[in-house]
Amino acid sequence: MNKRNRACETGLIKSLAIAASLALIPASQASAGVSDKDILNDAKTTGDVVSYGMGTQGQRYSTLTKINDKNVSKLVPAFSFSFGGEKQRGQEAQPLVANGKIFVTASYSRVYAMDSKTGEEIWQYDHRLPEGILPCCDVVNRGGALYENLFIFGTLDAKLVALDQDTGKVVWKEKIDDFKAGYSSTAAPMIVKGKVITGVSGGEFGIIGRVEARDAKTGKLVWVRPTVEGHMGMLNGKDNGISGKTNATWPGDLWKTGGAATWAGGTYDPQVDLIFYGTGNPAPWNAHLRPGDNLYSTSTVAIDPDTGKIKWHYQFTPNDGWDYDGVNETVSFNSGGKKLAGHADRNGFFYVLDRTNGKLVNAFPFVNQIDWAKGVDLKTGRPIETGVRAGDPAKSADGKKGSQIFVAPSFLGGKNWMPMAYSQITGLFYVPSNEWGMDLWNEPVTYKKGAAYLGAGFTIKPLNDDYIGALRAFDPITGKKVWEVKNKAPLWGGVMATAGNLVFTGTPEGYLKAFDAKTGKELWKFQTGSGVVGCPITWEEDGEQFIAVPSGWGGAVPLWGGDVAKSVKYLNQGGSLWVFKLAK
Amino acid sequence: MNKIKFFLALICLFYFSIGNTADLEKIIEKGFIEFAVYENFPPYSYKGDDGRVKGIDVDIGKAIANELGVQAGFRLFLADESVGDDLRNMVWKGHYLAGAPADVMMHVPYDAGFANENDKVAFLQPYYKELIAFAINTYRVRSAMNLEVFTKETIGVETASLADAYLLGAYNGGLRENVKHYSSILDAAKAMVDKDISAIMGNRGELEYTLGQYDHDFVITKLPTPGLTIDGWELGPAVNASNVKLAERLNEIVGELKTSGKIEAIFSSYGISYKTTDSSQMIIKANQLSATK
Repeated sequence: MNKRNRACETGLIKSLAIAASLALIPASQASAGVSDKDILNDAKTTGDVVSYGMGTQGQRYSTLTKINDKNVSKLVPAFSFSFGGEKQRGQEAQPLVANGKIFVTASYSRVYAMDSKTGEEIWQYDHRLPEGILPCCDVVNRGGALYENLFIFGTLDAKLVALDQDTGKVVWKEKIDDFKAGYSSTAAPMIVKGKVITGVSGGEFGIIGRVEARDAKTGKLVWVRPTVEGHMGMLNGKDNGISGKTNATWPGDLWKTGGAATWAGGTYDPQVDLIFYGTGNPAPWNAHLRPGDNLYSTSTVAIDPDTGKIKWHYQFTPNDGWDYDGVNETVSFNSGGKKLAGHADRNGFFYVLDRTNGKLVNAFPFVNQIDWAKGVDLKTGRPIETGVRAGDPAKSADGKKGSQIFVAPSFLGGKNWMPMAYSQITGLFYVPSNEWGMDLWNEPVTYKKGAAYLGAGFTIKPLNDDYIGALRAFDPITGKKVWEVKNKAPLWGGVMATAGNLVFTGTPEGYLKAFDAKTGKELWKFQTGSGVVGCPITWEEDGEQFIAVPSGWGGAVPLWGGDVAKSVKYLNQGGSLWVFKLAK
Repeated sequence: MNKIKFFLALICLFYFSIGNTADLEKIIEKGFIEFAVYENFPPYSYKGDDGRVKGIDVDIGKAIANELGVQAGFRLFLADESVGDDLRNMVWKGHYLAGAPADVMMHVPYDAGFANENDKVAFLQPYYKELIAFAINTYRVRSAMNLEVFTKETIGVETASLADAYLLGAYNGGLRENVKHYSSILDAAKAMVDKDISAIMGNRGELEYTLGQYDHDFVITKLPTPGLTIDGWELGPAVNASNVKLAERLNEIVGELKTSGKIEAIFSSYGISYKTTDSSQMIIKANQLSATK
């Protein structure tokens, strides 16, 4: 009781002091502002988290050791913050921390700013969504970007909104594209050299992926780089060369509607000065109709941040016929004096690339079963396909269900959007993976917008009775699996590694867990009350280390039925932010 | 004992208030019935220049409401990836963002196999049969007996439509280079008027309506389509299968509107040739009937 009163008192005194100091300076200078330098140093500075990926390289690694394998068992909640309302669904965000505030986005395009030590709300922003919007893949948002006094994030109706960090008021708002044409924005934007970098999310039909750079202060478009061959890029309002070579890897005019959505965000490495952006699957879904590699679908493209030109690309699944989006993050790391990048693809292979030129250095499976390819040829960089592809529905003579194949991984991937982590101390990648396959068949007749259509059918099936998810530690150089921890439900949340020999991740069953980074031994867990599908972060403030993670089940998994539903059907939705620190 | 009865009554009340959100009595009592229709889908449902909702499906909806003696409201919605998804969003479950379902959805395929996969839906008797057709610019192509002409001439399709998937695969991909993609039949029609393409393959009703706006030498016809597994399908209204009374009453009304010629008159007012349907039975799962009794 006494203790609590004292805390109130000091809080009061502190806020009085702040109010007094605020009175002396103009409101616009109330926050120190997040600079380009702060963003480039984010992975090294422990007092803040100012970028998605905890550093633009996307390692999700913190050098903090105050919380470590010896004392993590004493981790207790500092506070929990409810997102409120009835919108309890799919909290996939990574929070950000700067200047004593924690910023977090929530589903349905909402943003909250709160005091990073007390959880007291400073402001909240509810983006007004238009009537009749039907986003394809749930209502998630994966986070924002900080720049100077702005918090910038994308919305379900494909807008980019910049809010004042102190007040939550809109400073600028730009339309990315038309939501009625199937476009949306759910990924966290990234700041590179004063520009805000975004992609596009959206439905499968007729959209074209692209990466865009805007002046982060004003929202003014600087460059556009389409991720489908044949489309013209733009720099400062002028044509800037087409992507690739028209019709080199696409038949007819299919490149005009080629897909390759850039829906999961990107990373940036200042050492090679390149943006790495992943791309989705090509359209139409029937691969037989688009012979060719269909560039730059299912690839990582490396883009010059100044000119918006593609410097190199690496394609994971040429002529994709399994819906293996290549959007997963490409994480920069150095090893043996080499500048490398790691990428765990939907298709089940972990790729190590030379990030100076996109050449393949190593590739190995990170899941137990891969049916579509035997391996990846390290000389050519191409997959060695097994021939397990769905038949051509156009060739179905009787109009009945076409030939059915079973293939692992499922289209939800050996790993989906949820970002992995890389520890600079262990040199290991920590990959949130899932073991599932799918029955895939062609339906000669299904219906779309009141008309007959040739569709594909699929049913996702777990490969094991006792688990789908598995957090795995891999040595990227040897390809050796160092440890794994199985989880009954599919893993759908981000991972974080720290120098305290710890790895954190959440589970749909509601736990945030901490593991020994070297052995995978579970050292701590806490039940947050709803599934954890967000990304944990850590920072230090007034001598204490904090850990934060959003909680709230949702995302794509509950939308897909089949046998997977059994492992998730008792999970309740939610919406809150949990923050932890060591008990005193 | 009394307490238990009270709770039972409460539970029943709760159950029925959820289970019968769109039942016939409620609709008559409210004097209002809501139809879900596809957005931006001329000539079936679209916003006119004056901002009002128009179209064949809308007029049929108004005629149905008129027979019921209630006002009709229309909810324009964007098509999801399949009609199965649309039925979930608009008929039996609702969408987590777009809210509760409407009372009726229009322009729903009437097909026993499809109905079997969507057993929470009552498929009322169809009011129209849509056909796959070709619109040909006679200035470019004098006469086409088959698709071979499109190894040399270009043909437009709506992206991700049946015509798109069919033509890309037809003749072992031999027509693929000449298939041109448009976001809608309307855009394809403009391209044909501008002589960018020589033909369009698509739904007959949409072709007749969009090309009817232009004074040009076009012919709308049927061509042999080897390997195409379906070249026509029936369309009707659909309601939640738990609302049996509503389904039965609307099914009757659609039958009356068909026999009285009102539906054909609506089609001809949009300049569309009407293809009637023989089916008059609604498709509803037997277990749904027993579940509501």
